[in-house]
Amino acid sequence: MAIEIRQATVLDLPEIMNLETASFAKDAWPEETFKSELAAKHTYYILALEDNLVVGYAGLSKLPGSDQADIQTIAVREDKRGLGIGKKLMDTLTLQATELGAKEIFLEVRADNSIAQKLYKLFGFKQIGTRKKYYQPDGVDAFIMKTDMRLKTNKEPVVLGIETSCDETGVGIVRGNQVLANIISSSMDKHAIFGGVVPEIAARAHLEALTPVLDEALEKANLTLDDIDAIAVTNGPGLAGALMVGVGAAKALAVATGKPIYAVNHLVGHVGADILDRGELKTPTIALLVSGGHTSLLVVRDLLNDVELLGETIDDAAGEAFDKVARVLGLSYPGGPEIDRVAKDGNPNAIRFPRGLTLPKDMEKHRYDFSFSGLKTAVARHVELAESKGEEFSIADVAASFREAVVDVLIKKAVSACKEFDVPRLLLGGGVVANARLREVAKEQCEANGIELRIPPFSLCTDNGAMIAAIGAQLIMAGRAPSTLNFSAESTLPVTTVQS
Amino acid sequence: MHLLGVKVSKVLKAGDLAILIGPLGAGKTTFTRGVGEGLEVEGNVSSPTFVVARTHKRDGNAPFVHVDAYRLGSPAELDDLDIPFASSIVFVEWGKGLTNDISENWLEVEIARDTTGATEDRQVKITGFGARWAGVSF
Amino acid sequence: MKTPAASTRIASYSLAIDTSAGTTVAVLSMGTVIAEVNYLEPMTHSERIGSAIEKVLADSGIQANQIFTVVAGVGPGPFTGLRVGLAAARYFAIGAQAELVGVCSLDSIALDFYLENPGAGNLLVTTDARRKEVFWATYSGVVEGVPVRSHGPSVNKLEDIAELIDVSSHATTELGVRAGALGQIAFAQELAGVANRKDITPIYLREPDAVPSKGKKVSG
Repeated sequence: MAIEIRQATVLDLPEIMNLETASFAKDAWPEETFKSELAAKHTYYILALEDNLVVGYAGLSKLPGSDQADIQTIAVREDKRGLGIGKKLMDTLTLQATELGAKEIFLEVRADNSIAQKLYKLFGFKQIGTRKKYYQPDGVDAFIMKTDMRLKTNKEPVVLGIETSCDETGVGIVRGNQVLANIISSSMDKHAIFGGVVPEIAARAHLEALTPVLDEALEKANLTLDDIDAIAVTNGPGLAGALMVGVGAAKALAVATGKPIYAVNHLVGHVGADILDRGELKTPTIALLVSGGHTSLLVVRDLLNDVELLGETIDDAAGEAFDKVARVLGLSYPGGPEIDRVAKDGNPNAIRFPRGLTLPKDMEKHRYDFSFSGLKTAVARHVELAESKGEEFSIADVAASFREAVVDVLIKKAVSACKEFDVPRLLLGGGVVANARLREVAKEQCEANGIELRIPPFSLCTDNGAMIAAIGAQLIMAGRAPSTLNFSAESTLPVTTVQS
Repeated sequence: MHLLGVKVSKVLKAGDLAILIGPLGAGKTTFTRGVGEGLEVEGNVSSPTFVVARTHKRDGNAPFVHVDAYRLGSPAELDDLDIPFASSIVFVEWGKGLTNDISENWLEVEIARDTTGATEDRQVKITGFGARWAGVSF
Repeated sequence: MKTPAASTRIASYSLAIDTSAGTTVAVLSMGTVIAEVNYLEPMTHSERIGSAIEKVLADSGIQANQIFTVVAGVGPGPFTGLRVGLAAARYFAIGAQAELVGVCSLDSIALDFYLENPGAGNLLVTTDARRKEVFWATYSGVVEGVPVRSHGPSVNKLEDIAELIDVSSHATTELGVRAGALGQIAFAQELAGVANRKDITPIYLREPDAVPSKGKKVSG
């Protein structure tokens, strides 16, 4: 769903009126009123279009020389609600208001319109008064709401980000899009003999690492907590017990310092890592996030408003598959680097292992989903069969062929998404980006298909606090209200929830 | 396999515990996906080997907890996860032997695969233990 | 870290946090509870902890940066929940530039028991440790506001405790952990000059029971 925002003109009036009468019924403005609104010099009206059809509109009024602006109206076609269009319209309007020099924005909303009120609150609007029985003939009150744009013109907020979703404790500090510190403490070596992350061990390690990592981050950035404008924390998805450590710590820090807190989605954080490397995120982009715990393919049209999950693993994550196959081959944990090491001398085409969910019958229901379970089983069977027959087999060949199968399907589906959605950009993220073959094939295929490939530096690809802080900063710069203190740690937070 | 999971999901309620037994690739996760779909859970039901346990909310209903005990060596480890068994519906892959202290009632879903490699057939045996499952059929 | 001038000692505020069972937080002034919350549900710690701290501060009318000491209940308790309070205590202390001290969670139950039953003798305190076991400790009384622990904290099956102590000579209680009591103990400990009050190591009593598991076969 690609939404375009452009300024409205008098020529758009008929389409606007259709939506006006459908949306507002008895409160709808007469055509003449709308016409003069559009024509007026001190107003700014915008349209939201999908395939050149009007699916929403909004308007702002600001008199020259005044510190105040008013949101005149906002409407989204009924069947297109809940898709982030309202947020997009508000983003544009509030930005325009600031550029016109407004310090405060006012609006009126029906007391019974809780959906609109929720949207406004997201943008920092607070109720400051009531006009009794303002809306006639219904006799419904009007809430007067206001937001202070001075909070939003904090062009480069300094944000502290806390990340404890898996086995790495990360605290990062950013100023706008710039990394000031990115400290990570990993408990990976503690999990080695168990062949994978042990939630209890990870959580204990987080508790111990919290204070030293925070201290180091502040020192590296040469800042005190007073200098911080806000705190951001990952509240999901990830390991529940681990997430709770970061969530508990962040909330307490917020109360202790009186700073606002933003609860942020871990996967969206991975996408945001690119902003820290390049200073901006070019959208739309396809994002392939691959780690021990996640394998997800996203289309990102707007980092804060429009992130859609195209597909994900239906069984093992890619990183997990590497760990399991490494174990089958008698290699240690983590499996990725070990398989890479052994595969160096192997032939990637020696054995054609299955590429999961790539058959024609999968294209309908699982077009962009991944499955590595069958691949893992095939490798294990291959090895067991050889061992039971007492045959020699080349670990290097098996490792190389397995890795090829994983990389093949990951990149093929990512490139396919770029083509289908006509998005010539691919962003990689997650710890598995460390895999050289993945990067190699990504570069090859992207070049061959005219796709711009983005791979942030490894310290930003692996789980880290700076990427979380970056999302926090983006939210602040977009004028978003902070989270309340009541959010919970969610092990299955969907990618469509950027902030909780 | 997926459909069988959906079917089984219809009789489940809070406090129910099921363990899935079967070799790698048998279809335990596929079955569980079906259960998840039947229960209308939030979030994608995928292998929780990495995270060990994943909790899926269900709008207003008992949450569904999907556990993969592949990497757990003892019942104590399962306990460390602090899963609220009594108020959730819990499915444990590779769970044999790890759930004895938790409840007197549980389901065992045993999936066998044709190991000759000749066919992709599966055999599923579902056994109920404890009074809860007396007289329940699918 | 705030350095105590003689005058600031006179109005010494502390914040006590414990999530070893439910979520309980309290603000104390010179060892007297002036605000407290106590949520008994055992599973909502990370949701509640932020607003709980905010509430007691608001109810007490003091600012976060007036907190001089953060008192953390260090357990024992079910790990996941216990850690939420400990993480919160650590970061609150950093944010408010307060000192951080630890108190055994079971001690708070003992203090409340002896306050209700002055002169009572031996006490056995137990809390749920799952796996059909209990966390427990025994006390002989209170001296200068600090419960005197005679045994524990340990974790055992309830039946097995009789092999370790003379259960019949110990009273028991239904009381639960309360942040205010922890704060009172911490204050008393400070006055008494107790040595290891700054030890905030969590009392887990069980190692993460992870056992390196062998790989699973594919066929058969």
